[in-house]
Amino acid sequence: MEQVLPEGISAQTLDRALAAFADVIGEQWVLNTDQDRDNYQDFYALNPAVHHASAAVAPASTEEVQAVLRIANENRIPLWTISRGKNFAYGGPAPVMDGCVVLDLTRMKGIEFDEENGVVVVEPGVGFYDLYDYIDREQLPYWLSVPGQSWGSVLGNALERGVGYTPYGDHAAHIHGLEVVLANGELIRTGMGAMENSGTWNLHPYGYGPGWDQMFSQSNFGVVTKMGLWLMPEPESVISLGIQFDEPDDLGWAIDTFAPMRREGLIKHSPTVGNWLRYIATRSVRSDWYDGPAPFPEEVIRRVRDEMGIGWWTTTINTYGRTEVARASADIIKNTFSSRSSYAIRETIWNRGDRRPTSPFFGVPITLSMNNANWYGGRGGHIDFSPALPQTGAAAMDQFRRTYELHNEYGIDYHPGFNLGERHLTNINAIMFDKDDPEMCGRADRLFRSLVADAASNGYGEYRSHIMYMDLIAESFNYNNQGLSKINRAVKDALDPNGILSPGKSGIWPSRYEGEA
Amino acid sequence: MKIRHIAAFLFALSCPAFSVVAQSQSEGEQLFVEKCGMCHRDLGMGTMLLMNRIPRDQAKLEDRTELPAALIRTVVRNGLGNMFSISRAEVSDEQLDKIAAYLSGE
Repeated sequence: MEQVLPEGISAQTLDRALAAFADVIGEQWVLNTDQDRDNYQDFYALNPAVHHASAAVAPASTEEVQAVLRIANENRIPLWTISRGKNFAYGGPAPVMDGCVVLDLTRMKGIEFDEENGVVVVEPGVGFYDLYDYIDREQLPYWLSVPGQSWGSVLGNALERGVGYTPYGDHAAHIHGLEVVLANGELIRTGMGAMENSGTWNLHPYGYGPGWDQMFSQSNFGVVTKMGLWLMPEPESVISLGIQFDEPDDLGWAIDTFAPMRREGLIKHSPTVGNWLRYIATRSVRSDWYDGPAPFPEEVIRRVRDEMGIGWWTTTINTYGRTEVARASADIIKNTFSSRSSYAIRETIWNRGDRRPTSPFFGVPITLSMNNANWYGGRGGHIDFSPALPQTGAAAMDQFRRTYELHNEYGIDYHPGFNLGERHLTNINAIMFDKDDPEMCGRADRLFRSLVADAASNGYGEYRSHIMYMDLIAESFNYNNQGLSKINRAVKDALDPNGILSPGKSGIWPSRYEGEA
Repeated sequence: MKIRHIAAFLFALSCPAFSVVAQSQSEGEQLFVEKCGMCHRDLGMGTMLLMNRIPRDQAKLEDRTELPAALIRTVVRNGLGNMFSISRAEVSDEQLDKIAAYLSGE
């Protein structure tokens, strides 16, 4: 791909900056060929014609990041920061704004493990597999929480508020202490780490005064170079209850049954109630079942379910911890269901010392989930629409009916999951498409926009967004005439007056690029 | 039916195979495990998708009887099908040569 310059930057200025980057990080880590630029596109993009980088730089240390930011500031070069660039379905390594230089932190692979306290400090390039291997090699008695697709960065995923499957699955909530390079190259540490030689940086959650960890999540206010993360002590037992629900309407009572147990803490992780397609899309391709237009007819769904042995909805609830506690909790959960008929439960038990299943429920990373990119059998992709809902059966059923109907209207297969947070549901819908079918890509895009508008009109916003839709989502957070956007802009301009860090991230544009949105 | 086989395969495998890097491994093999193993060893996305497209006993790259180094280098830098391309920051040219040598036997 040929070089696209950032707005207002000449080729000479960019070349001068790239040469200066090479002086501090080494020429081989300034990536400026057409093929390099291709590598920083979103491989699963709906529209490959936009979101193009001009080059990439890959520093290996915090000091190099500081030097890169100083040079970028002097030359007003806009950067787009990525950790490992694997945030696919949300844009991968690609920038919102054309012409950004990607600041790729994949070479920063430092891991410091505090075994006594179960806390790890990771740099951005550490992937879930890297950390899993480290814990395995050192035989540390802790489990990771990994996302369904685990090829990405531990730090990047937590900062994007990614979600895993164990009781530590709210990754953002387990961030304790960051090291951040500000746009001017200055280095800060948050929480107790703000002290020289702090003895409790990643142990005390807040430090003194305002807490800033969340400010650097889903934002473009700084470049996070280290993150403290709490890990779950290895449980003595895990009891898994695989539950199949027979009817579409069972979603309502299922959510209403789980929600009080989730609030109470009896269910300590965030289970997902997903439909039959969510189950089969990673295990088969569409043509195995059906060649007609969406939606799948009921008789085909019946055949799918019979062959795969699954319900219309399916979920797995796990209890974790001491054996007696896990047993008692699982029994209470099962008894809670005993008054219902349209479901089936299958129990499996894991005890410490048993081989761990290759499953994110057990903190083991996998890459199986993105198999659904192959659903249409060709070069595929998906974009995820993820509104947060109240944790009630009525809200879930209403969202389900409206969202299913919109999918049917646009002729896109419906692939939902309803994930139970502590007080909310995250409704993650994978909108799958065939990249080589522009007409289908157009429908997927129009469906996404309709879904955002539909959710917003019901008072629901997304918890995370693809780079294509960051402005669209930001606009839906419109209380008091875009009050949130105003404070984001004020903080952005104060900390990054030249607007060099990830312009457009989460809809936050520096004044310099006013009008880009 | 194809999908039944995959379901049976999934059920049969319950051990993370990507984590062990033995002392005796070559640098190329170690790099393959670190950089590629997540998708191209047991249960990985690459292995699972390739099972639909080529003979099952060739789905794991390490089991391939023929896999030219030039093809590996091209696919890594350009992507193929549902495999995204990989930058020189993540896998340098030097590392890629070692991985290609390990897989191709060249």
